[in-house]
Amino acid sequence: MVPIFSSAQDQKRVDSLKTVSRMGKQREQFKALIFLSDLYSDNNLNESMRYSKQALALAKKARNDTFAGLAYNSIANVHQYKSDLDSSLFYYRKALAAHQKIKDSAHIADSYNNIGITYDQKAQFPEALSNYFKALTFYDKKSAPDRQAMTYTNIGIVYKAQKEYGKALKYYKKAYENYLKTADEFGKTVSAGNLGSIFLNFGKYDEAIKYSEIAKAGYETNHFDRYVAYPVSTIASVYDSLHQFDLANKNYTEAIRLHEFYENGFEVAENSNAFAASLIKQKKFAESISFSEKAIAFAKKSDAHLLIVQAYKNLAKANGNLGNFSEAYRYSNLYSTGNDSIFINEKTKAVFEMETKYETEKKEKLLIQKEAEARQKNILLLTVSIFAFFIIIIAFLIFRQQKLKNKQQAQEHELKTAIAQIETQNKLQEQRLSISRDLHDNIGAQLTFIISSVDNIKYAFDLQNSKLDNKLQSISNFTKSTILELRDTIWAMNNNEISFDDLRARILNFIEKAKEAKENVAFHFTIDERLDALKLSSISGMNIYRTIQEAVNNAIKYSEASEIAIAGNLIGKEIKITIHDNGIGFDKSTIEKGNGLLNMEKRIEDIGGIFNIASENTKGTTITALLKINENTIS
Amino acid sequence: MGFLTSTVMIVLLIATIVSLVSLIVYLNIRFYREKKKFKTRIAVLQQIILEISKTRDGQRTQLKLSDEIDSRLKSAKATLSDDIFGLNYELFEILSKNNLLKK
Repeated sequence: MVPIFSSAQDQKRVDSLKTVSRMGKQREQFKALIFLSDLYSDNNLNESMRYSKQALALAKKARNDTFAGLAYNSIANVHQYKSDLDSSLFYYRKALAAHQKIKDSAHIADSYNNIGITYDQKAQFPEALSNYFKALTFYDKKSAPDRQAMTYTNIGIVYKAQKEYGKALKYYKKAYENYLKTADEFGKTVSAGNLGSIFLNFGKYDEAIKYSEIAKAGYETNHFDRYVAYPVSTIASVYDSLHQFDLANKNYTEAIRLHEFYENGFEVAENSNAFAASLIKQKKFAESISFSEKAIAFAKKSDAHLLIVQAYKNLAKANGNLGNFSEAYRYSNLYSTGNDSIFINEKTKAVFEMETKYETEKKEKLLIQKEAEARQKNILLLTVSIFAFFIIIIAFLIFRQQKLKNKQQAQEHELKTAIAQIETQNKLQEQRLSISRDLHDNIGAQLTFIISSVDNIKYAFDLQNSKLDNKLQSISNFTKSTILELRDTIWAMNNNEISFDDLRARILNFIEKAKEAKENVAFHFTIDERLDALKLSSISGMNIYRTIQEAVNNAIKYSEASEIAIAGNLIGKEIKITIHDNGIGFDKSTIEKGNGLLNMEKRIEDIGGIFNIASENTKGTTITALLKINENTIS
Repeated sequence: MGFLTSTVMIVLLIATIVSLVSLIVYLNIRFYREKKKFKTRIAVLQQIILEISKTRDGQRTQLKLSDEIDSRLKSAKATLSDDIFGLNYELFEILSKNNLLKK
């Protein structure tokens, strides 16, 4: 295991970050966790993941989408370092979604770039390019030359991997030009190195040396010594191609030394092989054997089988040229076997890849099938829900209809029952009225017979006895008044409604008779013409008539009046009936109300009216009845 | 094939939904029509009740008047009986004074 942090200063920084991640404010805590994850990503991926997840938990707690995006990004980075590229893609996409939610364009572009890198690693180059270009759109809008340069480099790498060197060169150049506008020395240097290596592919050796020298100087100036060997290696290849073997040897030796120093075994083996091949060209076979053996040793450490086979080829050639035919034969055999083995390995690898591809496709198919099943299930659920919803509504509507029907039936039955009851009552009342009418007719006839008998007696016999004569007269008068009363009642009973016109005629008739009885009294009768349109119920008409009758009779009998005035007026929504005499009047406080007055008051109150009597000694008497026009009294 | 099946399914589903919606609309219309019809029927019954109630009230008034006159006639009967009795008494007194009564 590599020591966690190389220097005490680094360790101190980590401790400080750990303290902040526990004790600091929320924002500082989050930043510390992200830094810690980043630091541990170089040597302890599990620890790095732990800090990333802590950062995510904090972001969720704080409900901060920027934090969430950064935390997802950190988790994705760890997955990428673990070569778990599917998970890495998943979390980069989550980071992208979080940044898109808050429209954080800078981080959106970073997410697209990261997704591009992951696709590049998965060798899904079209997807990688698509995401790089999306990132580039955002960086162009933001005018961020360093980020643009980084993306150009990434695009160049993709094109180089696809052996589209022209396009790769174009983007490497763009990257280099952009880096020149920034202060990013490392970027400039890497970019120059990339250009150097790509120019080698085009056989543009001057350009290749120029940019490789720039890269070499850049790495040295900025103390990125670890990377110096790469441009040196390119320079060596250029001189080798130009057959300037002295310079080539010098640069190969330097490149191998540097890679060896920085423990980059793979590169040592590769450079040693290249140098060994160059030495064969220079006919320095013994030296070539030595570097080939070195290449084998380092290739074995790096498990680089292809490099070992290449070394065997160089060894076979060198030994053959030295006359060591048995060694040459041995290495030649090893080369063939190795080549076969590589072929077998590659074949196996291809088969394995095909198998993997087949499995992946199978899994994908299964996944699609499952998705289709889930979709079908959802559709089924939705359909069932819709049907259930409709059925519930229909059931409710039918229930409502039935309920309404029942309610209507009950209501109808109730009304019909009420009609039947009222009709029965009406029939009974009709029978009672019929019997009453017969009875009244009989009584009327009997009373007429009595009057006639009394009048006959008086006419037939000349009665000298005044007492007897008075008795007969009293019987006759009483019977006449009773028969009049009966006739009035029968008149009222025979009419369901009494118009004011009828009432006026009846009152006028009564006044005529009163005039005959009291010739010295002047009667005045006026009635408002507007009242003619009104119709009274029979009981109201009867009670008004009786009240007027009683009031006039009282005035004739007791008031000694010379004038009696009867008036009916319509005042607003009230009928005002006034009976006034100019007689002697009376003091209301001293007299007791007799049956006559009480009857009048009762009759008017029975029909909902207000009865009033006003009288003063010598100033006559005024009787007033006020009736409101309503359904009970007036039709 | 799958596409055809799903298309047929969708068509069937839409047709069913349309039928159900139509049924709901029909039920609603029928509900309001029944309500309206019933209202008319009830209005007729209510009119009948109103009319026969009016007749009943009229008859009640007439019966009230009849009861009133009956009670008046009752008292008139008593008065008339007293008066006739008084007349008879006077007559018998005169006849008795003049020795005209049969012995």
